[in-house]
Amino acid sequence: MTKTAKASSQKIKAIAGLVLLGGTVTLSACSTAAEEVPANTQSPQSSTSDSSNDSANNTQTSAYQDGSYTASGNYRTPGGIEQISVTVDLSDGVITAVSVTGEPQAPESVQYQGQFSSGISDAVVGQSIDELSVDRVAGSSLTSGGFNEAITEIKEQAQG
Amino acid sequence: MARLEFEAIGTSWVIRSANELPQALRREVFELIIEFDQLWSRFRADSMVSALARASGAASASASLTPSAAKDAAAMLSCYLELSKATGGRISPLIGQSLSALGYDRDFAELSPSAELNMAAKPAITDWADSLTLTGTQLQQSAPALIDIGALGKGLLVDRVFELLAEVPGELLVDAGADQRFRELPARIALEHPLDITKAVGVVLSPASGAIAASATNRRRWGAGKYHHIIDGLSGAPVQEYLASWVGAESAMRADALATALFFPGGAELAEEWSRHEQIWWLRMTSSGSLEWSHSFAALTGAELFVDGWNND
Repeated sequence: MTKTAKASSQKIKAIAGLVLLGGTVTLSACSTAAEEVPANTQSPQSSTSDSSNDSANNTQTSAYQDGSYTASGNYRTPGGIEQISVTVDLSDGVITAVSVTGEPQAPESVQYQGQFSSGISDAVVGQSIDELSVDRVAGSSLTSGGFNEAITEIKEQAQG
Repeated sequence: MARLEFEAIGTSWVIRSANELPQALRREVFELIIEFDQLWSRFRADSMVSALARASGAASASASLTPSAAKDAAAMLSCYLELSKATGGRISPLIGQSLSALGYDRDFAELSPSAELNMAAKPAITDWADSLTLTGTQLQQSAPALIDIGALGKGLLVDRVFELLAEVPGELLVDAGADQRFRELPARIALEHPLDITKAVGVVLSPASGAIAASATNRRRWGAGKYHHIIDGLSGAPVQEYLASWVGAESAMRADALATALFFPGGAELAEEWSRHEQIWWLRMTSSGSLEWSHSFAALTGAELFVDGWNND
């Protein structure tokens, strides 16, 4: 009866390759975003993963490198365990777009996830990623844990 | 800090404490939750409320409670009386059959939420105080109906778990997601956006001790989005005017109760009345996405709302 239920596990895929003066590039081996894009929601914005296209003149002023980052996590819905993929575009430490997509694993969840991915996206655009650091969330969804952990991973990844 | 996570009664719980809770105390917490469910869950055929529903069909029915269960019943029923009076009968504990009539007749985990449904709304028993009474440790139900304590039951349970841990030193948080009770733990808390749960509509700097409840119509939706679990007892149909509410109060039961009331006419007035005697703040979102908030929320230090015109400095 005692169950420590961890609501999410994560895997990270860095879609953006970055080149810094004197820095290193991290590219993930399985780089195609297509694996994670389901049919019913918008596809994440991504910059090219080919390092040769990125200008070597990029200078960074914030602790977080510009680019597009995706992290995924699992979360619990009434219908079962689903997968959520969060893609965040960073420019100068500021989130310029957030996209959340999911991979329904049970047919009942399709409608449910559709409600998350569409919706008012203005609330977060313009907030520095550090301002999402809260101690916890008051909300009635069952997915907050998955999202917060995905964002933590994105932060770690973006700090390179 | 120690963190205990578990799943119980369809909810993810987190208990944070300064030190790890001893094994015996953890067991008491789980037993408390299970016993509560065994009394009050309308999804269990063997629960007290199910037995009362069956027996009250033919004649008046009654159940014998333990002293502590009677104390819970008394607290809940008296709070329900206030909620009913304030909302003109829209909130009622005898509302279980109205939820079932719309299709929410089993544990939500067993529903197929995307299945299209066309159900006939069934009004609740709104004048329930004559039909559901507590005398000492006897709970009597004289009308055929099914009790559902969803308007404030989870909040009460969070309070009881919190009280069970009264002797545990230091900071403490009992977090059942939408219902939280805490002490010695000031915190920045994001208020989850009901339409996009990756976002927050605002942030509140919660005082070190108290409770917060969040309620939203997206939490339990079925019938391919047509129905949700916050229903108006007068019509038996889901409310349409509001999408979400957030409340800060001194106990989780009262926060939960007010969070429900705010979906109905009379809810804001009730909040006003309660705030004469205790610290209360609240917000709610209308169905068009706009936010309404209490004066007390505006006066909170460190409160932020991500809306035009709110000064977040």
